[in-house]
Amino acid sequence: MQHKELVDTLSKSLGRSKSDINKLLEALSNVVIERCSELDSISVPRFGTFEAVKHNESVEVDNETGKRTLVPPRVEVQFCASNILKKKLNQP
Amino acid sequence: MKEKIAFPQLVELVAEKASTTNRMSELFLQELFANITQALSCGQSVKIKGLGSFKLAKDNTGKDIVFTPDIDLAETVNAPFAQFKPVELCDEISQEQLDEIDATMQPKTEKLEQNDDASLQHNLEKQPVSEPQPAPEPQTETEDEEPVAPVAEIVEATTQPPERSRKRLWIALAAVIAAIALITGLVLHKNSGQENEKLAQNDTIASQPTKIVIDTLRRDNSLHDMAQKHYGDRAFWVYIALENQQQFPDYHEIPKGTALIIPPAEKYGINSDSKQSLKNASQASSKLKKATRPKVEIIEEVVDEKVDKKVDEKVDKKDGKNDDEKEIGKEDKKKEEKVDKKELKKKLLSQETEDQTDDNDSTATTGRHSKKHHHLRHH
Repeated sequence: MQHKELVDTLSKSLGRSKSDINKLLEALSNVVIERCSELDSISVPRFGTFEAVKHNESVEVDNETGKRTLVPPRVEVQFCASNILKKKLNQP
Repeated sequence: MKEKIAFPQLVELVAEKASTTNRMSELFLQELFANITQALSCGQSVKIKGLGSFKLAKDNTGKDIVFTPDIDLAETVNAPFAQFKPVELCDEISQEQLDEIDATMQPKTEKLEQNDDASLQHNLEKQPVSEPQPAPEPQTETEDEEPVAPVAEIVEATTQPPERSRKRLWIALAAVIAAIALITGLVLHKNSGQENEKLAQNDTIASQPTKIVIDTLRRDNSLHDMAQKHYGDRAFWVYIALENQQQFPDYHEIPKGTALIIPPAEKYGINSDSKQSLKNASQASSKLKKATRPKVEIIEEVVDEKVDKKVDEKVDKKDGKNDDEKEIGKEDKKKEEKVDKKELKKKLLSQETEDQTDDNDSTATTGRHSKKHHHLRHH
């Protein structure tokens, strides 16, 4: 499902205009960005958790070439699905 | 930081961002995630602009959701570390060295030069600066070269380590200079201390720190008497003479009423009970006699020899008795009278030698005989 579809579906079920839905989605994105920049985690019940994980720098070795690369530190946004969701997916 | 934001909080945050009510925000979020869940359970992936995409992935354990954050989202979150890029390393670096770098968080130039890359990263991590990184480029080139090449990298590396090492250099230099100054100061102080001690010993002015004994040479006494008084034996007169030698090079010439410094007994090892001390005193006195006499002899040679010999004989006899001391008493007067008679004779005989004696006069300072000079001169 692409973005447009989702917006349409939500607008119908909520009785809101598309622009409102887009606004809300944008707001959600911004909140996630903000929180993750602070390395906070957002948990959505029965869905999952959005978390920012900091990776320290490390050396990665390319087995083929034998080259060693120093990977700089970085922050990554990760999502972990809740068990309930996983069960749902595996059940149908 | 590392806070866990629950759903209600999320609702509030979203409502605030979207400028809407909490109720609206709550409804929206509930509906949103329900839809996503629905789509995923149908096997569909969901993509949301600005957030990311949720895809199904088949695992050994079953199906799982793979979330790929939106590019903007990822980049914004990673903004503090955006400047860093993966850097290729040379072969010689080891994991241990990397761990040490991580532990210390300080660039160590003492280690293998290749560590500069890691330290480079650290420096940049601490202070994100948007400067270009020259390190990766030379690194690729020197990959196959000897470790000599990385030395150039140290120079080419960021300005941070050189500046720090420069500062340390200056601090070290300053410490060395301070240490040298301290040492030289100490040495000088010691030397000056030694000099001061010597000066104190030779000082005849009454400014010595030690207690100074001063006695006045009276008309009716002599050095011998003073020695007897202060040291317990007449033989130690020589040390009084020596002590005041600077002021009075000739002990015969000391005018009456002069305040003389009586040296402390320890200075010359004066001990009236010690035979060695007495022996030393007699040796010193004969030495002093010789030191003050020769000038007289020279002058006498100039004058009529015969007359002088006679005078000498008489003088010697008297000196022998009185141990060559300066007599200010009656005996001395008698001698002077006798000498005066002789001097008159000499004067008549040797008027031609006045010039020569005058020359010697400036150097000679003996008592009796210098009086002779005076007579000669006046005439």
